[in-house]
Amino acid sequence: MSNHDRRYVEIANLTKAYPNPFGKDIEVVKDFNMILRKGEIVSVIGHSGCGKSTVLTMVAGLNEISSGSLAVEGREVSGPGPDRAVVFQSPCLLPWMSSFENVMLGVKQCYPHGTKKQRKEICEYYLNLVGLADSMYRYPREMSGGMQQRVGIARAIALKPQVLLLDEPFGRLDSLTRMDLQDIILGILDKERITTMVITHDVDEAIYMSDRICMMTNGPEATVGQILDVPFQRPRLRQDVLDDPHYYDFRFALIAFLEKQEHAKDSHIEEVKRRLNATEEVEAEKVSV
Amino acid sequence: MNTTTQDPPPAMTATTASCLIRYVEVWTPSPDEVGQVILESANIINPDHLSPISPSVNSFYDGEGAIGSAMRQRAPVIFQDMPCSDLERVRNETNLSISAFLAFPVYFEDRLINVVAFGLIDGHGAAEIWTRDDRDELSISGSFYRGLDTFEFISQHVKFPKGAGLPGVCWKSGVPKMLNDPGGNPNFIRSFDRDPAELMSVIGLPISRTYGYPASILLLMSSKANPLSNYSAIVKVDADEPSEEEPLPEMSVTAIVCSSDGDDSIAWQQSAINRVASCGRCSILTGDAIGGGYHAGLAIPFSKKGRTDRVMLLAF
Repeated sequence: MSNHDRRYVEIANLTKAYPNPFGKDIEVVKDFNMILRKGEIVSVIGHSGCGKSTVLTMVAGLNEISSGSLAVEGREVSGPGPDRAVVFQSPCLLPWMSSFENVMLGVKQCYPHGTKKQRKEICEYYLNLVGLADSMYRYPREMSGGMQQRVGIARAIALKPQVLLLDEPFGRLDSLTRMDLQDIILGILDKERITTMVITHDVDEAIYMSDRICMMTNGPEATVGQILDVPFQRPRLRQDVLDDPHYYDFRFALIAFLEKQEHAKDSHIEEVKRRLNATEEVEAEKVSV
Repeated sequence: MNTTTQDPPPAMTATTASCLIRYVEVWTPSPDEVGQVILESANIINPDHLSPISPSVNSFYDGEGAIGSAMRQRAPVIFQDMPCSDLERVRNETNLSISAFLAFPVYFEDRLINVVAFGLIDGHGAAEIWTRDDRDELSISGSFYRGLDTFEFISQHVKFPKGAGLPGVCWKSGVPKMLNDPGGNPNFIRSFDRDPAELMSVIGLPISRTYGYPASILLLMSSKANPLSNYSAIVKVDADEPSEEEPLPEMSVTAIVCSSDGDDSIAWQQSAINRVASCGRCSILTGDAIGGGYHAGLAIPFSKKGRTDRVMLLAF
């Protein structure tokens, strides 16, 4: 593997700060560092509100980076682009367009010099890949949530992105549909070898889908807590992963981390309350004096 | 010279017989030959006294044996199951049931000042060597675990970027760190709840430097059953010196007392710290040089910005 492929996506000291009306900016994400290899699937897991989606939207270029840098294949990037495709929790399909037309929207932008026939073949290929060969000309209102999300996935990968960003793509789906789509995505990623970052709350999903799991600490100043390499070979069969004697060890490690972050959050809240109380007491003393 | 320690937690009862470290060697660069270290001292740590010994080998060249490997790699090395001449040597010469031989270099900035070696017994606890990889993350390159099977398995797959976890914090700050009660401490991210060993404290030591940053971190973990030593502390020298912002400051300096017989006050540490800080080298402390009710000690200096910044103190 070349050095470029070893350090395909470099996220260095990524920080996001929001202005505070009382003065100092609040850094919700601070010094987030991670390097992704080409073709790797990395899950980012953490408590709700810790900043996972903030990191993803910064990587996607949809959220301005306060400080730090992002490089893809050795080139620093900023702002959105077709090299980094996003699949959000909500598919956000254009309701007046069919599945085919929704996918074609992006393909037209990315292949402006292709012929109409070539673009059509691309759209059909990726819709077929996600199992929607028979639903290409259906409208979103005629499809289930799972089918709509498949269109969203096809729309993203049809752009042939260098990096695929999935922000809780199965969050709105039932368990069975979720499992189905996990297998579809894994099958596509095994074939296309797209470098992927997945935001998820589900520890089992993270273990099943990923090569590495990045555990984020709680905010503010959320950052990488630790990274866990998942040693299961690809392509993965769900039952084989579940039957692995170490599966529950990994599961335990993830849950233990999340529980510790929960306690850390409680301690932090208690500390803030204690300091506020101390400040109030000092102020009360000043007043009484 | 001023030092600071936080108030130590309540003393716990332990005896030297159950301490993980039972044997200590200190090696010094030879004044006559480049790339060679000579033995400064070798001691068996007994419950109430130190027994100096004269090992059969009193010098190593760069790359020779465990001591030479630590020199050459500029990183700690640990040998337990694989054949190791030094491990066999120590077992034969001390008649101790040493399970692992750990050697690590000590630097003043980029200059090697000592190689320290520990003989570890078979008790609950761990030693981990974290090394930077090609992703600029720390991963385990050597280890010793007892009573921590699940923890060991998971740790082999864990990586820490700079600033993450205790290894990452030591890397970022460049100074040793110690934290107590890792199970309840949110700053110790990994969990060992599934294992019988009850870890009591963890010490992180940055070893060697590459481009100004430590390239390897040594983690030493004490359990309730088998603490590293009767007393462990990381002491900041020159407390009046303003320190730059440190991540996780609540884990920066603390001392844990393992023996109820020892003196917890700072005074006995002061002379030990002063001695090490002034000579700038590791010191075996015995007799009047160690106080507080302890019979022996080891002090290891750690430098930053051209001066001794922290001292690790182990007392028995």
